[in-house]
Amino acid sequence: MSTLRFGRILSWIVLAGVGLVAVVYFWDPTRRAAITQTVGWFLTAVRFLFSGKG
Amino acid sequence: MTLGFLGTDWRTWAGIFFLLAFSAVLYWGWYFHFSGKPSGILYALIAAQVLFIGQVLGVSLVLGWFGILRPTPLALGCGLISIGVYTLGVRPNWNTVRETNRAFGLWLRKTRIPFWVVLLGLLTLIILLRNIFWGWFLPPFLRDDIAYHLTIMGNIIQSGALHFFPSPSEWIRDYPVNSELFQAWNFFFLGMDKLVDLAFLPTILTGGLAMYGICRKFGFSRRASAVGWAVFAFTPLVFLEQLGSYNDAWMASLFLCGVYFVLSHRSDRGPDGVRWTVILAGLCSGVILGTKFSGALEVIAIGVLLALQILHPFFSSGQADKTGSGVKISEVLAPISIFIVLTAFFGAYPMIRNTIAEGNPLAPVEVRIGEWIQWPGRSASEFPSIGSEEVLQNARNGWDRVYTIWFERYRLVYDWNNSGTGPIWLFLGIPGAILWIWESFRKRNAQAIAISLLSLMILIFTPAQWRPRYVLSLLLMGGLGGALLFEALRNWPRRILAGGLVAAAAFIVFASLRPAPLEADKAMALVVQRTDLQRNAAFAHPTNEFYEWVESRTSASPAVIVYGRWVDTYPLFGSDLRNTVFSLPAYTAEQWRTQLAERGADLVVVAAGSSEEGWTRDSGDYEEVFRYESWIVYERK
Repeated sequence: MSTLRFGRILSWIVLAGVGLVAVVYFWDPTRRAAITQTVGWFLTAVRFLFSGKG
Repeated sequence: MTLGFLGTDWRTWAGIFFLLAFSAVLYWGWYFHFSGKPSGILYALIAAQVLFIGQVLGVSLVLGWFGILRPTPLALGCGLISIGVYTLGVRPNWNTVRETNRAFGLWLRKTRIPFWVVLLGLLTLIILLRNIFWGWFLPPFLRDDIAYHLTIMGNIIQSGALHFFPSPSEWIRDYPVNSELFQAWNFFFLGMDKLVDLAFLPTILTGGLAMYGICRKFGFSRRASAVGWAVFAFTPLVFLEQLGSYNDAWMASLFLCGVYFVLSHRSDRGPDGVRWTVILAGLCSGVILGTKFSGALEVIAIGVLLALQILHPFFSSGQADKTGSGVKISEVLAPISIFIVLTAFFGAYPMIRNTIAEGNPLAPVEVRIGEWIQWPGRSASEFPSIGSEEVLQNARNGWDRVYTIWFERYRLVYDWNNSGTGPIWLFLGIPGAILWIWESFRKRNAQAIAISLLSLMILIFTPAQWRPRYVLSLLLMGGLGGALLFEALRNWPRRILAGGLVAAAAFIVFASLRPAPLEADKAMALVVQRTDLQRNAAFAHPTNEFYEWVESRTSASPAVIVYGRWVDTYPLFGSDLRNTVFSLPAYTAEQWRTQLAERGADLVVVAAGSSEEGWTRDSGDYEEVFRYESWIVYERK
């Protein structure tokens, strides 16, 4: 299995395919929402801790 | 009760210390035993974890069958086995053990680890700290955990026995017991559920090592094998299930360990090497079967791979020529028998229990062949709808569902039920798996073809395979394919791929840092304002007013609680299982009242408008003390 070697053109094709999937994956509102929701969650947690309740 | 340090009193600290120290003694005994053998350090690390699970589960199962599953007999049973391991397996080879470990330490210091692997290591550390932090401070809070996994654990611990537990919930009645029994190990010595959420963490880390080892067995370089490990380890479902009672990643890890042992099978290492391979593979297989019924497909996969591996020398012409003796039946039958016996010992109990109690070994799922119903139950097609109603409505057919869920078009990374594949599954896992299948046939590599076909069998026959957590064993092909892809690239394409891998891993690690279903202030209140006893699942449940009332009513005086209809039962127990919680199977008012009196029920939880509510109210022995939405609590007058 480990003896497989891709040629230069095939390497380009593989990388382009992987890149395309990456663009499709991240070009999506749910991905951006994942980041903003996490930031928002921790900001709320910090506010709670410094509100005197913590 | 004293507040203690970080909300943990000294008795619990002592219990935690004992649990960690005793588990370490058990684990390292097996590790030292194997590091004195020629199989290598990686094999020793993986074998030790699998045998630790086998030791704990084996003793727990036997004690449970005899109804004496208590901390002292459990510790004695496990301790006696480990005395045998240290005396017979470690002491005679101690010099070899020391030399092997010293040589490994030297090798590790000399080895140059690529920067991108160091970064992936740091991300793994962040995830570990994240899981240990939330596992330490939060009570069990995930849906299935409090609906049935931990209720099963609670029932077993309270009764000290393994038997059929009646309940309106078919999951509590019929679900297998292995993962819950293993979680009980983290409860017994503490007397509370503080660490039960972290029970699967070491095994899932070991699953990553097994993935790395499998890649190495196929001849990939260390760097490419690290890519294979990353495909497995950075699938969000895998690292998120290091925390909680969802057992899919635990099962997938044991599957990888089983495959790793089978691939390590070497007849030239003598009968001892062959015997241990078969024992370890059988152990993985049995634990999987007794964890979830769909694991039967993974058991078949490990069994077929093992049979091929055992039979291989007999069919290779070289071996036949050298020995001139042909096939010895005993050399084939003995290891296969050991494998079957171990699989049955660790995995058959739930099926036997369900056959006796429900007349269907795979209850609650109906088993039918065509029109012929072999064992009655609910149709397998009904189960995927639970918690996925919206997905099923939006994505009508199988392909649509696979696309929607695997591409995470619908949910974010931290939704256990309908998502959790992450970007690496897509970037490397799926393309890698396709490439792997192609290459395995092109190279006519028997082992690779077997892995491809068996993985596809698991994918096709697993019910609701569009739900990624049911088909995590696909990561075997995904990891191998990722390694194959990386190995095939050179220079800058390889660097781009490594960079993309780190970036994708960083994204999902960051996006998963919070404990998904819990609001920030609720989680923080549990961390900083409560003691361990108050860190109860009741405070994390969405309908917490009902559970909080039960918690405050029973915090000073434990109660016998009876429930009449489906309810998430685990929060009723209390984090130290102080309350006895059970359901009463009653069909008439008379039956209900008699059983309430016989069992000495203090509190009765019923659904508003149900027959049980009427029977309880009309009995005259109980009065309504609390009502929340559809739930009513009656207390004995």
